[in-house]
Amino acid sequence: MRYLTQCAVRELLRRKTGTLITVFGYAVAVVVFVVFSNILVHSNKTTGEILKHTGTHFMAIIPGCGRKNCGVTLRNFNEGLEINGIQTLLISEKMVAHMKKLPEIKDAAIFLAFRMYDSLSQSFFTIGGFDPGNDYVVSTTCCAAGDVIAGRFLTSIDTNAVLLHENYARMKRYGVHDSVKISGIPCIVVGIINPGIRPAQADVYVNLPYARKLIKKRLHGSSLAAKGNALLVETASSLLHEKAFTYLKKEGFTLSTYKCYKPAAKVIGLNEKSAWLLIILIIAGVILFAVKSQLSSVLERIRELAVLRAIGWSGRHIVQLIVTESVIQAICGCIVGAVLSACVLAGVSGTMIGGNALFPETMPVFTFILISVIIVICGGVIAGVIPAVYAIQRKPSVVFHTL
Amino acid sequence: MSELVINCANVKKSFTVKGKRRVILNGVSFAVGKGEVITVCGKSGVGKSTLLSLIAGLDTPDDGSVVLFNTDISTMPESSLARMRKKNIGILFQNHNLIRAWSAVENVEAALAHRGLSSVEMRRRSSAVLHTLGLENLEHHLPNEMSAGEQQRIAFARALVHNPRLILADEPVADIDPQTGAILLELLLKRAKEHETAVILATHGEPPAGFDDRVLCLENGTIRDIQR
Repeated sequence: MRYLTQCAVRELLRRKTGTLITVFGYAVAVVVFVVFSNILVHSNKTTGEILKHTGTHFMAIIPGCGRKNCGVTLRNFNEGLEINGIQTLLISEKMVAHMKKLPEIKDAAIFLAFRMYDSLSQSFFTIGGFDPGNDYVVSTTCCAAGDVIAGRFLTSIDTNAVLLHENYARMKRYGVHDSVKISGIPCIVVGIINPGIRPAQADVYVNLPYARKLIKKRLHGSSLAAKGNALLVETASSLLHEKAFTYLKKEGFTLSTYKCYKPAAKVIGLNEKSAWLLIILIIAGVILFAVKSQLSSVLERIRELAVLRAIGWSGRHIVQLIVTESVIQAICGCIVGAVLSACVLAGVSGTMIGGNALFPETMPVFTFILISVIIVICGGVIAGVIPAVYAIQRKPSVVFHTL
Repeated sequence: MSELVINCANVKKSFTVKGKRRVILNGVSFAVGKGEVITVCGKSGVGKSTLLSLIAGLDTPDDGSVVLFNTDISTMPESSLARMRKKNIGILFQNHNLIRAWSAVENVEAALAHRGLSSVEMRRRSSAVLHTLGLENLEHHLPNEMSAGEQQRIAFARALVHNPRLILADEPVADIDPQTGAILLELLLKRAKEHETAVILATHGEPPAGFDDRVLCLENGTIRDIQR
């Protein structure tokens, strides 16, 4: 074997350029595999961590059963407890307290929405009552101080204060400090707000106690104490989102969510598959190139190989020689690739979102290097065996006769 | 005749070229004894190289038998043939066929490979043969750094280094100058006589007088003995 290795090295040194190109190809394969595998694994891990600690939010309602039997008695049958045009039943805060105890739920809050008629302008608008003191689930599902574009946000102790949705304010030409009458009660516009695409929307926002006070004036004797008609929910993590859905649906709720976590995770999954496919294609391409390169070398010296057989080398020795040449190139490529990979990984700095270091552990790096070495050396063997088998299938006499 | 080295009996060989079958050897029979020097002559394309290939076990006859050192090699497997060549046969090609990437001594060493010899012993024997042939100053030269005559002499060293019992020389002096050719033939003859090595020389020309013991002429697929 030592002698064959010496012969193989001589041949590789004779065709330096071809050898260097093949070695470079193997090195690229190792670098691509190690670096991208590390990125994918750590990306996967970080994504999992992020999803684990990132909740998703939605709004849940119980659709109503008709104007007369939805738990309230209306003065004006054109008004009502409605969310997005759907009549809803009332939900008590006891339900909210119960929801908060569930492991799938991180936070929950009541929202009270009512479709109200404005006799002055002879038009309808929605009034939405929420708890401005809850800056968790309310901020993600309804509105937050950061959505204020003029004036200020509401506080829990505000009375006679309203926030107007930007669209409604423009339509009605209201501004901050303007006075609006709701249920006959004059209210001051303290702020204009644009909450974006959150599920709990209204034209006029007030704090919850004040909303109950304003809406009660539109009802006959119905009590709204400790009640609302929508549940704002923040799940404990994206991984528990579906579980929370299932529970609420069993309780008769319908849900309003934009499922943003799912497409993102799906995209990540799709991208990961594409990346692995690309890695496999690159490695396959490198091995194919090595096969081609070694085959070209064998064809170029087919006569020399026939001479070696003529002077007593067996077909097995010829195969060993050619495979040794190929494996030496693969090993050299692995060494260069491993060093380059380690340099690339050590040189990449910064952190991924979620605060996790990009490459905090060295063990997976060595594991990937080892895996890539095994793959590349197997590739080297394949790249040697195919041309070697071709070489020994041709009889020396035929080679001498042909050339 | 002394102990037989080669005994060919009714050897036939044909090739198919462009769908047409061409008979090269059509019942060739002859024997070669130990230490005999045989010249096989004939025009180009008559089958001299084919005959030597069959004797060397590089090809198999369509019919007949080739008995080498009392062993019928016609049906031997390739690995056994390789071992047989490695041990007993030295081959000289018309075109020296040295390995381009290897130096002169490395080319000679190739004939000693896979015998269980250490690299030191292989180098020693190869250098010794080159020294005997006056080629010690070319030991570390690559083939492209030598003349055609020098390359053929290196090839000769390779054919001799393992002390073969049979040397097959296929037009070894066709591509070199007459003086070098004469030296080479002289070395072949000397080898045959001193070590009782059988030599079969294929040529389309005339070897020098006194070179060979017998001349076999290949013509129309058959062989006949020509007495000098």
